[in-house]
Amino acid sequence: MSANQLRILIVVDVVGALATETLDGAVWLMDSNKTGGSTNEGTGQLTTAVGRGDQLIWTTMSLECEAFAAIEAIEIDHNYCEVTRGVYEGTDIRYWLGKIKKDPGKSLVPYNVLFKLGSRAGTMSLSGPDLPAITGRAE
Amino acid sequence: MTQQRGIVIVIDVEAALQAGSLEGCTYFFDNAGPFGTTGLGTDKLVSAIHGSYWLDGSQASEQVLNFAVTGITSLPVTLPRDYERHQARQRERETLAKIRALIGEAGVTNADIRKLLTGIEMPQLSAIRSFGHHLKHVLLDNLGQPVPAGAKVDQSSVAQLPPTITDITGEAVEKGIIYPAQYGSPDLVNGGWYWSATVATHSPKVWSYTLHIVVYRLVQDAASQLPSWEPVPMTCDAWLNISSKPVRNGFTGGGTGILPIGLPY
Amino acid sequence: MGTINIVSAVDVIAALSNRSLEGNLLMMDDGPLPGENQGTPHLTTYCWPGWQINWTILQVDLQTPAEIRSIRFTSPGGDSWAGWFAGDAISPVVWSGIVPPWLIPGHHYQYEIEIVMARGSNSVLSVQTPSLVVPPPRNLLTPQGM
Repeated sequence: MSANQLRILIVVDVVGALATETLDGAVWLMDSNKTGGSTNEGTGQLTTAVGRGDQLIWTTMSLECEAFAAIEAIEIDHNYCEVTRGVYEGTDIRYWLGKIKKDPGKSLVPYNVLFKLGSRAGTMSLSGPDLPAITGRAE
Repeated sequence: MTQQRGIVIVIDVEAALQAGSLEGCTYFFDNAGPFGTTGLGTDKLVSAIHGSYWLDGSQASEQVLNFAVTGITSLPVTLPRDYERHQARQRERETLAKIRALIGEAGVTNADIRKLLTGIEMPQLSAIRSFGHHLKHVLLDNLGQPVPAGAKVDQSSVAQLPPTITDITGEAVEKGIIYPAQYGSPDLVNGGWYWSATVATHSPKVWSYTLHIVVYRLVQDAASQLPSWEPVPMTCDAWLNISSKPVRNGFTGGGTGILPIGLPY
Repeated sequence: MGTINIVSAVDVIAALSNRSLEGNLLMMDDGPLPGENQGTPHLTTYCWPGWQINWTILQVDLQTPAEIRSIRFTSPGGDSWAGWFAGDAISPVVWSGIVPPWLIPGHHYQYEIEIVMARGSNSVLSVQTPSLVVPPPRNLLTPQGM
């Protein structure tokens, strides 16, 4: 399959996360590659099927439209995926780009996401052991 | 309950168009996860609705639901819905500024002007065939940049036109448990429209309702001039788990009484 | 005998982000004698024996949960009566009551109001600064008024 752009959307329950001081049970991830082999769609353990040269685009949205949520950083093994931050032109809405440099094959390469939520100082990150991950396509 | 419920529906449009249905391609969420809602992140959402009744049995509170729908490959919902018009205008302004900059420059020839004009990048338009209207829509790529005119487009390389809710029906509506309506809002994020419903809480039970959603398929056929977004109507079900408790006074546990102030103990 | 409504407006997301109600809780009343510090957690509400007081809460962000968990008046002995029921986001509890006849006019009866937002370790916040006062008789008023 030729190189693709793949979207990963992260839905966050901002109020739930701020009240419990953890993102456990307050994040769900979905991607646009279900037909290409991604699994665990709609959970915090999304595993996205990728191939070398693919470009991932991460964005986030809050359950409550009044609540602010933004991705502050994505931590992933840079041998497999190089991440850069971008902004939709004319706005301060961010997206994160990930360029897949190496095919993960059969292994799982997990990653962590750091968020800025509400008007809370500092960031909150996903907690292990079950993190979202990328893996090779099932060919 | 003064808190309003937000129900968010995320649709994997490409998978839905392939499968011909929303089943398995739709992810529901609401903001009552800590309060008893089940099915978050799946297509079987059962929203927990907590009602209440006065001591004489009459209904004391209703719940308000707000629906928001988006596609996984759509641009973020926090961008204005007319973002593509904003981007097209931005390009036009930049081009006009370049043309304007030529004024007053000594030695500008017709060849210079011709070169600039031929280099103008026009955005690719698409048509939206919807409800008898024929709207023009600028195509944006997945990073919000206008697609240049003439470029080959397919559903995965452009930002998906967001799905829209067209109706809410089902058992809950027929029995007068929910009263849905489409509301106009000055809020540009939704293009000015969103669906909301009030829920009567007098009949505790699990009630089902059906959402009618239109997803858009991008077609580029040789006959038409423009790529167009074809509406494909689909439906999916969701449920409300309504419960009701008696309202009690926090000071007395029953009805209204004397405030516990200034007591000697 | 009349009714006085005390409405608390809370910015839930800011309160949860900063873990404080200061600046995020606005209390107001509609009593016939305007109280002091309207729009703050230091509201003083003037009331009279036999009148009914109703406390209600409103979220500034409509889709966030906020309920009054309890209202406690501290007695001179230091004890407080928290009431029978703790409100939370799913239990329908109404906070209203009649002003008793034995209150000392001019004395500020302070109460603690506890607000519960969502569920979790950070979800309960409170302020101890609002109060109820029975206005003193007119001949005890200072020249500046109350």
